[in-house]
Amino acid sequence: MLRIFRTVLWRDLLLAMRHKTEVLTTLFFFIIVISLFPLGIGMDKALLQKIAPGVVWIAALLASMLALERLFASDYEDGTLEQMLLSPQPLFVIVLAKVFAHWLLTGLPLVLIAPLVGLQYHLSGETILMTMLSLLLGTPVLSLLGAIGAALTLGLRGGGVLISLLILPLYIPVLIYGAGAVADSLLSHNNVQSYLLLLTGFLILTLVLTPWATAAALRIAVE
Amino acid sequence: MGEWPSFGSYGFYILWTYGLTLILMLLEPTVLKIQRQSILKTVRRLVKIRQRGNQEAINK
Amino acid sequence: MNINWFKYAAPSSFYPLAGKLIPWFMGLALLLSLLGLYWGFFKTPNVLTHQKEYYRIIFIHVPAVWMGMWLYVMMVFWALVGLVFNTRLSYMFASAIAPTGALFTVIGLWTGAFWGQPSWGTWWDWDPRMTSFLILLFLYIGYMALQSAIDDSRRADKASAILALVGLVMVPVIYWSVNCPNPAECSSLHQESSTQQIEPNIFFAMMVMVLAFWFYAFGVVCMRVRTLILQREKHTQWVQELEEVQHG
Repeated sequence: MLRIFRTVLWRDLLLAMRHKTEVLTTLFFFIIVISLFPLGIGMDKALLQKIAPGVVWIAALLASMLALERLFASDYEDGTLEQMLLSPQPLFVIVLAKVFAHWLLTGLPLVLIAPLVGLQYHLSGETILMTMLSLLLGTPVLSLLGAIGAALTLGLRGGGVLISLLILPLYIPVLIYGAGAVADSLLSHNNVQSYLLLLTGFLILTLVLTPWATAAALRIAVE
Repeated sequence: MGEWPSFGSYGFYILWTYGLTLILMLLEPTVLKIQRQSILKTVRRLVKIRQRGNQEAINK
Repeated sequence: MNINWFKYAAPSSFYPLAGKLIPWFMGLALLLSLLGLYWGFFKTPNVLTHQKEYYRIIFIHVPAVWMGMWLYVMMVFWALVGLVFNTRLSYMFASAIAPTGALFTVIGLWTGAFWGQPSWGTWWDWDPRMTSFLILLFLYIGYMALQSAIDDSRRADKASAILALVGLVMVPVIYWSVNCPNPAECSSLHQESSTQQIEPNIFFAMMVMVLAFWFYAFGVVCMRVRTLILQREKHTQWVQELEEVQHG
C-alpha cells in the first residue's frame, strides 16, 4: 500500500517537474490576484489589514480551482487512468497519492508565498504565521474536495468552469474558518485555537471520506 | 365570508410575493406541457421513419 | 390489497400510472391552496402585535422553504436508491425533482426578501439561515449543471447522484459553519421557528398550504418524469405504440 502510494506520488511529481508551467501558473495567479485588490480598493493601511484574511483565502480558493481540471485529465487521455482502475491496488490509495501530489504542487507553494502577502497587506509577524498555518491546514481540504469535482467532470466540454460551479459551494466552511482564524489573530486572538482545531477536523474528515467519493466518480467516468 | 383584509401600505410586498409565486407555479407546468408536445412530435417522426423503412423493405 | 410495487419501477408501467395521477395531484394542489389562502386571508386575525399585515407572506414563505429543503432530501434519496438498486426510474425521479426544488428555493428566497424589507428594513442580510438557503440553491444549480453537461444519460445519472450525496454530507457542515462564523459566539437575526406559539388559524392555513405545495410538487415531478421517460425511451416499441403518439 505504501509502495503504490510512493510510486504514484513520485510519478506525478516527476511529470509535473517536466511541465513547470502548470505549477507556476497557479502560484503567479495567486500573487497577481492578491496584488490587484489594493489597486481596486485603495491603499489605506487599516482597510487592507481588515480585508487581508478574506482576500488571501478567496485567492487561494480560486487558485486551487485552476489546476484541478488537470488532476486526472492527462491520465484519462492517455489511458493510464484505466490501467490504474484495473490494477489490483486499492483505488483509494492511488487517489490519495494523486491528490497529495496535487497539493504539494499547488497548495504548498501558496503556504510558502504567504509571507509576501503579509508584507503587501501590512500584517504583523504573528498574523503572517497564522495565515501560513491556516493555509497549511486548509489547502489540503481544498485539494481533497476538488478531486471529487475533477473526477465527476472528467472528459467533459467546459469541465473547468463546471468544476467551480460544483465545488466552490462546498469550500465555504474552509473559507469561513480559514479567514476567521486569520482575522481573529489580527484582532484579539481569543480563540485562534478553536479555529485551527476546526480546520484540522475538516482535514481529517475529508481525508477519510472524499477519496471514496473520488474513486467512485472515477469508476463512473471511465466505465 | 369575512372582511377583506386591508394591507395598508404593505400591499406592494404581498402583491409581489404572491404574484411571482403564481407566475412561477403556472409557468413550470406550462413549460413541461410544451416540452412534452415537442418530444411527442419527435417520437411521431421516428415512427414515420420506421414505417417508411419497413415499406421500402417490402417493396424490394 | 396486494399491490406489486416493483411493477411500477419499470418506466413502461409507471408512465400510464403517472398520467392518471397527475390530474388528481394538480387538482388537489389547486383546491388546497384555495382553501389555505381563503383561511389565511379571511379567517386570521387582522392585527398581530408587531408583525403587521405583511405576515401573510408566511403562507407562501414557510411552505416554499420547507419544500426547498425536503425536495433536496428526496432527490438524494432517489439518487441513492438508483445507486444501490440501479433502477432507471429512480434516477429519473432524482433529476426530475431538482428543477422543482430549485424553483421552491427561489420562491423561498424571493418571499424572504419581500418579508425582510418591511420587517427588518433590508432586502437581504447575511443571516445564517438566509446564507445557507442561498447555498442550497447553489447546490441545486450544480446538480443540474452537471446533469446537463454529460451527454451519456447513464453516466450523468450516476455522476450527479454522487454529487448530490456529497452535497448532503456537506450540508450540515456548511449550515453549522455559516451559523457559527465565530466558534465562541453564535448569533442570528432570523427568529427561531416558533410553530408552538403561532396563532392556530395562521398555523392551519400554513399547513394547508404546505400540503398544497406537496401535491403541486408531486404533480410537476410526475409530469417531468413522464417527459424524461419519453425522451430516453423514444426508440422503444412501447413508446411508439402509445395512444398519444398514434393519434396526435
